[in-house]
Amino acid sequence: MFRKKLDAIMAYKSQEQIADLVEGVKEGGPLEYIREINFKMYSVNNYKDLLLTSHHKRTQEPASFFYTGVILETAMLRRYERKGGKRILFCGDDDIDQAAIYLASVIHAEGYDLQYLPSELAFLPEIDVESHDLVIFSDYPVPGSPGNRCTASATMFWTAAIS
Amino acid sequence: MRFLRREEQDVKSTDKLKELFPDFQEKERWLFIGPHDDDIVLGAGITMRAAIEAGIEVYALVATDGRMGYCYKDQEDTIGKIRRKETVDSFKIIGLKEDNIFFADMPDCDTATYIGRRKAKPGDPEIGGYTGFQNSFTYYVRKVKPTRVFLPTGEDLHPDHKVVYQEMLISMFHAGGNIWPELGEPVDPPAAYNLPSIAISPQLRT
Repeated sequence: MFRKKLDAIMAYKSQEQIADLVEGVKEGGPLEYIREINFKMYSVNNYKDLLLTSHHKRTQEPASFFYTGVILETAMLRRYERKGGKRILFCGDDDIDQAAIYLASVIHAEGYDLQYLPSELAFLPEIDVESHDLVIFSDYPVPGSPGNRCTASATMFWTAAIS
Repeated sequence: MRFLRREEQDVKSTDKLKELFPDFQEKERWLFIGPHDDDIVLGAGITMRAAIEAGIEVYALVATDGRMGYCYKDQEDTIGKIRRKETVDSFKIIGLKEDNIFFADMPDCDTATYIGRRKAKPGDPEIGGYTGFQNSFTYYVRKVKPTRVFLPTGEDLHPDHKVVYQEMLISMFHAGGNIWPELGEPVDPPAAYNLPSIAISPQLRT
């Protein structure tokens, strides 16, 4: 079979400029290497793991994703609505199924309209603070503070998601 | 002959070509695409022959017309014809049917000019009144209906190889849709493979 390949190459008599390539084929022997191309059309599912918060990974709760950093972060605000109740934004205490569950349950049970932001997501300027009657930060990293590691990692998370 | 496939945990070894592909179909059709006429046998002569022996319907599509491949000044105007004959002779040695050899006839070393698709002007290689790689490749993918295509790598230094790589992949997308109906009926997208061994490149990643 290798002989056939060499003979087929030698049929290109006019192509003297490929002599080095032909020598390489002879030296390499009867081996060919083929590499599969991962040719897949874009799907949001390809990026799901990059974008899911630990809460979504644990609970498999569906999340809405948008491919600009700002919108994704604000979309991550989870709403627990109570019509007519005063609006409270609660940020921090890890996540809604972790430490935050205690205070969030009380707020919700008392009839307040609750929006929740986990500790691992950055508090972006686009979050409309003015529309809330109360904002609670509990064990939530403050932007610009020395202990701002969570916000920094959320920003990096963004960069990875967008690229 | 042994065929090896590197898998996540292991290397699969078999003497049956069809066992190399988990999704091997009963009627496989393989299309090899060479930027230049000699690229396919250089990179995949054995694979092509093995496929023919395994009963696979094999096709070759040569993308360029070879006009720049002259080593002697007196062949400047005739080299295209010389190479066309050499191509047919070469593929015959491998065992390929002449009817299964196609030529897209894009100008050798001027492939960048023919990226995409546009209305053909006089002198352009033309199918259905249009020219360009995406016109031609979409047509041939719909015509051959390959289950697998083998093409050069985009990491190659040669610009013709880069162009053929990118234009073939996007053409596979076009061929699967109902765009440009004059080029044929939509087809299922084939699996795609690189032929790194035709690359003119210092070292490719594995």
